[in-house]
Amino acid sequence: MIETYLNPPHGGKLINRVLSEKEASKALEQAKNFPTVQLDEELVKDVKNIARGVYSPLMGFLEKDDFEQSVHEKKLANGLVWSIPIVLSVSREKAKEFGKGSRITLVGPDNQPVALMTVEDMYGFDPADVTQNVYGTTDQTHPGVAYVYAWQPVLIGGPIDLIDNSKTPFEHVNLDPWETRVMFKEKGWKTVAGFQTRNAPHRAHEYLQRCALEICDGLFINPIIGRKKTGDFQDHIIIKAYTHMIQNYFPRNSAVFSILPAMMRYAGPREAIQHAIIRKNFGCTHFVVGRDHAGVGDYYGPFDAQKIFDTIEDFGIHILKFDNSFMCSKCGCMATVKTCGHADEFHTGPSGTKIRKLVQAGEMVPEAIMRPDVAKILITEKDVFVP
Amino acid sequence: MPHIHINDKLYELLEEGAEREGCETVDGYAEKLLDVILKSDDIMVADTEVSVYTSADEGKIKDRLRDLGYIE
Repeated sequence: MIETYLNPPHGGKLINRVLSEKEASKALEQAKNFPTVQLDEELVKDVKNIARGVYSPLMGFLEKDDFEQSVHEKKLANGLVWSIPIVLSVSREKAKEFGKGSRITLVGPDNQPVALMTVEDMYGFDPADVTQNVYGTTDQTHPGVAYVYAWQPVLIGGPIDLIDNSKTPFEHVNLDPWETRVMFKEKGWKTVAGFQTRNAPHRAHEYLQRCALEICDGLFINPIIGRKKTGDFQDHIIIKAYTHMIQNYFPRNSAVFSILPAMMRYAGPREAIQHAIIRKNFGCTHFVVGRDHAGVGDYYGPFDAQKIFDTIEDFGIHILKFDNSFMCSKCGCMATVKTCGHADEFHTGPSGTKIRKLVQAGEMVPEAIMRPDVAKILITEKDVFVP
Repeated sequence: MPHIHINDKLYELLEEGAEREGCETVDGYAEKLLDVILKSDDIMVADTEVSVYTSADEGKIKDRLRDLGYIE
């Protein structure tokens, strides 16, 4: 067995619901006899994340008790911190095809079997209650809220067993927690800082990453790859730009890059907790939370995602909280208000809108915001932003 | 954290046991066995963690990490 190197996984056990080759071929045969539920690409990612231990201690989609606790208390029914409900919804018609205790086959968008599931629970929900608690709003222009309102009326919970363990696309930069734990050990890292992003690297993020590396033995850059909102960076751009950054700017064996195939929910503070749990499962001992982590629009205060960690119990990962960072022309380096006393007029921080406008116009992003060679990658690539 | 290491032979035995007992996964069977062990007063166990990942799997993981350039 692989030892649980570094930080123990959330709940103490790294979940493995991936069927062996032999078991998977048997399951494929069984799958033909079960009712099917079709998943979209994002739900396929959730299934794989459950099976590979990314969402440990979950062994399947949430049952009612866990769901209610996670929505209202940011916990599972067993008391473990859990801030985002991971659910599977079906129509009322589909729900009539099976009941509690049924085995069902989860198929992907191409109708191929992805996993088997044992239905342990079927229940309804109130989208207003869910969104108000999880997202802090019921405004359906919020992408995460819109996602909840699009759920079918019946939620089904129960454990899954993964048949299709493929990692495409981007297989070459897709590691699961079992792999990162071995990797961290091989590198001799005793402390590892996890870094979540959905952006191409800019100087403000690079500054936080370097600060984290001053504290920890290693840096684990782990961007979310999956459905995002219009104007966010496309997945292939993030991968290309970060591969360049790591190869050219970090000391050898100090930083690694691997993707996290998952959907951004833009739940701000709640999602920051979830992101920290996930990185703990990967073996990280520390997790970086900067300004407006996982936020969207003006739904959350700039530091709400940091403050929320003061309101919940310690769940075994150290949160590295950073203020807004910027280039100070007086200091001649990156800084935050904690380390620079100069006036705002000397500060240049990253602006997503500004970067987007410049890149779309084929113009270089100012050096104070982004390294020129990284900016060059962006302006020479096609389809840089989510349309 | 203490761990239970299993070798390939034990994995094979667990596989056979899982099939015999009608367990869908080897992991499930291993947990069933562990449950019996934990509830026995005359057996001492240091840790409750169990997994079907074997030392062979760890070797495979290292191979993949090497192939991808993550480790040397």
